[in-house]
Amino acid sequence: MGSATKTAIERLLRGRVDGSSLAAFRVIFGALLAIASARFVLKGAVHEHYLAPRVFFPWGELLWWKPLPGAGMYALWWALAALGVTLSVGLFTRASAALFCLLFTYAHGIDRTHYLNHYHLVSLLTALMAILPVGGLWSVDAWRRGAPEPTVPAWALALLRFQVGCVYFFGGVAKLKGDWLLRAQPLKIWLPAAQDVPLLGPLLRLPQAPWVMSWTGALYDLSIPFLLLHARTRPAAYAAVVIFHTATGMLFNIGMFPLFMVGASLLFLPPSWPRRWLGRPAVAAIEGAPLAGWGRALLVTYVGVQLLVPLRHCVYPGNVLWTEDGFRFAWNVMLIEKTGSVELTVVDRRTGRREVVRNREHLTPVQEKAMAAQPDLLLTFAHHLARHHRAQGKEVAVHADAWVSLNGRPPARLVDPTLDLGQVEEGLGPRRWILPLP
Amino acid sequence: MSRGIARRALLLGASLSGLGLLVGASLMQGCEEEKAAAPDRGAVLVALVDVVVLPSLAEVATRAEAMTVALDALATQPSEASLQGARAAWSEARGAFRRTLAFGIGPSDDILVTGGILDEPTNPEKLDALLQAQPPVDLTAVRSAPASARGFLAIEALLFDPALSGEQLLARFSTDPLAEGYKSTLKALGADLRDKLLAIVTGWEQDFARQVRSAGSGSSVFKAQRDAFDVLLNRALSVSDRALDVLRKSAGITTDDPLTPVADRSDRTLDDLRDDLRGIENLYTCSRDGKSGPSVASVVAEVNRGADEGMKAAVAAALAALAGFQGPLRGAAASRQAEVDELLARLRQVKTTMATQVFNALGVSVGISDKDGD
Repeated sequence: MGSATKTAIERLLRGRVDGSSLAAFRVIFGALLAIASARFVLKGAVHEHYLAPRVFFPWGELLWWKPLPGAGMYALWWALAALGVTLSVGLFTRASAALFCLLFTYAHGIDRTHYLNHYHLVSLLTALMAILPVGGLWSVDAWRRGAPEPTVPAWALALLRFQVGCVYFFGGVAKLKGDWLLRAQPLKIWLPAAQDVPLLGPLLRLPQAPWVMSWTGALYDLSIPFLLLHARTRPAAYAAVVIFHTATGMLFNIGMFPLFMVGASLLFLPPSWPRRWLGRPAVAAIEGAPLAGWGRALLVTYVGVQLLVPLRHCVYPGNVLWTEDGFRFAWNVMLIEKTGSVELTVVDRRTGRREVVRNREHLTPVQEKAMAAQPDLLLTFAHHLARHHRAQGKEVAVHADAWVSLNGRPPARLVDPTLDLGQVEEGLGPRRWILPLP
Repeated sequence: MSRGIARRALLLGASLSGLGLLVGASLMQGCEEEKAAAPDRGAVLVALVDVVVLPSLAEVATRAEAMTVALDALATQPSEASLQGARAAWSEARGAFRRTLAFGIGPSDDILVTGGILDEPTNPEKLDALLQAQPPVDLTAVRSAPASARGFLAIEALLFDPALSGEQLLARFSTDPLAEGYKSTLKALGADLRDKLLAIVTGWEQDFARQVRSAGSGSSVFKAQRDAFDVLLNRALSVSDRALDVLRKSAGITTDDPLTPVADRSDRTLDDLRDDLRGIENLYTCSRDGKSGPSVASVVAEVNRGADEGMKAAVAAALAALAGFQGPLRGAAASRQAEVDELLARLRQVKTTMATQVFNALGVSVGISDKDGD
């Protein structure tokens, strides 16, 4: 490591910068969390996610979380909305962030059918906000203490920037694949479906549109965090952020994600941007106490984990888009159009009697669609069926006639139909039971 | 090198990379075979409503009225001719109805939510209880009867019984001690069913057709065209899925499926399956009675020609297999396992092709949250 880099890192670990950027981030992000939580309830997702399903797809055997009974999940989501407000105004800031993180992660940990990258991002950012000093300025906490903190450690701001930058950068790395760059998929499928979008719609019908958007999308994701970090390119880069997310928000049904990213990208602006925007004098950067050794160790560990987890698919064999080994928690954003059809058969080991499973008697339509295309969900459902029959005193084998189409390819078998999925272990190892993508 | 020069070099490099990528993207597109712009999906929805949906529903209305007249005729003047007329009218009304299931959204869903019963499996005990009600059954009594004593299959249970000869069945409406109950129930069931079917037709004509036509451009139901595509195609897929259940239940493969409606008393199940597939075919190809328009098929073909060919071939093969299956489907698995397996394979191919290739080509989503995020 060069001495200049060492000096820069030391400056980062000792320096303190204007805290108004983190304060503004807290206000905006908390408000978005409150809106998103209320929206979740109002659009009927509590019923769809927790009340309608009879079967859940947990994150492994140890995390067999169940929804709260009765109206509990409604209460939880309204509580999340309230915590978003308290976080935004900076009331019991750390506790609000910590509780939000715990409840939100619990709520989305119940069923991985509904996993979304931005839910993962929300869990990570709220966990960081529970630790980092985001409530020292422009907050009820600061007002109650009577002592606002005008500056924050520079590394705190850098860590949040790093986290948001990971979403973009690894989202870009994930796009460096044949499907995205050489086949313009899945945009070739999605863009024509959005041809009724005002202004952009007619352009999307052009055959060039998916190609241009695929390549510019990859370029954008890979470069935007770095362009946001440089003063010269920052204004244009932030304008690109707003344009990009506005466009994707109009084109695709992606809910709050664009707003979260436009809000979170404000972290890349100079630390004093909110004060300047409000016409107040900026607070100069100063030198503070260096981050303690254990703090540095934690910081390095966190950064290391965030750098390695998105790349873990590299150690698994096969096409990650097909096997989905290491697919989640890796910022694989908008990469696949995957549709499947699966017919499961249970065979009584004693009598040999075969019975075709009527999936919809166990699963909601969304769960059924997800299970038909995502191999790990298929395996979990097969295990559920085996357990279900075992509870009735029957030992059964579970077979799947599963066909999946990935990014416009002809359908291919996902698993060997003679394989007893009930006997296949769920775990973190490679899913060798998945047939290769032809 | 000064930091200023380094920055400029960085910017220049980034700009040239961007330009290079855009040129590369254009070249990649240029390597593909020449394609026309994607079909106008709004025109597809308009044509679907005008060419397929409304004419199909108009036929439902006509057949429903004709069925009511024929059922009344049987109740008023029971005879072999009026029995055969009632059976034929029932079958034709049912056929017209089944051919609309593939696009049975909006008013069709609403009517079920508000208690309309169209096609529920019949419970003979519940139907007997209705028959024996005093005073004789009227429309009000039918509307408060359980679902398992109403709809197409309740009428079927009155008109058909494989265990009875035509003469014995006719006796229900003439010499049977419960003849008055049979007659009044038949008339009331027919009127109830007709009203429900006409309510669906009216719902489409008054508003829902406009909602589909204007999807993505003023519709309050479908904010985007893709929403209408999603709902319609998911319904068609669900029809293909349920067709498999119908086949398994009627053929005797499954014995623990009380919820799937099968028309086994009349041995119309094969025709039901054929009508279900015809509905899917009409929806997919936007063609009916010699008329056609811009279709879902053309949209699929533009994205993935193989998917379109696969879907058309799958439907054609399934219809051919159904046409080639002679005799009733009821209980056929016991004696004609291979033929039933062939039918199952053909129907499953329709479902698989639709769920994988067609849905993949169109980017169809299922629910409110499966793409709500990233």
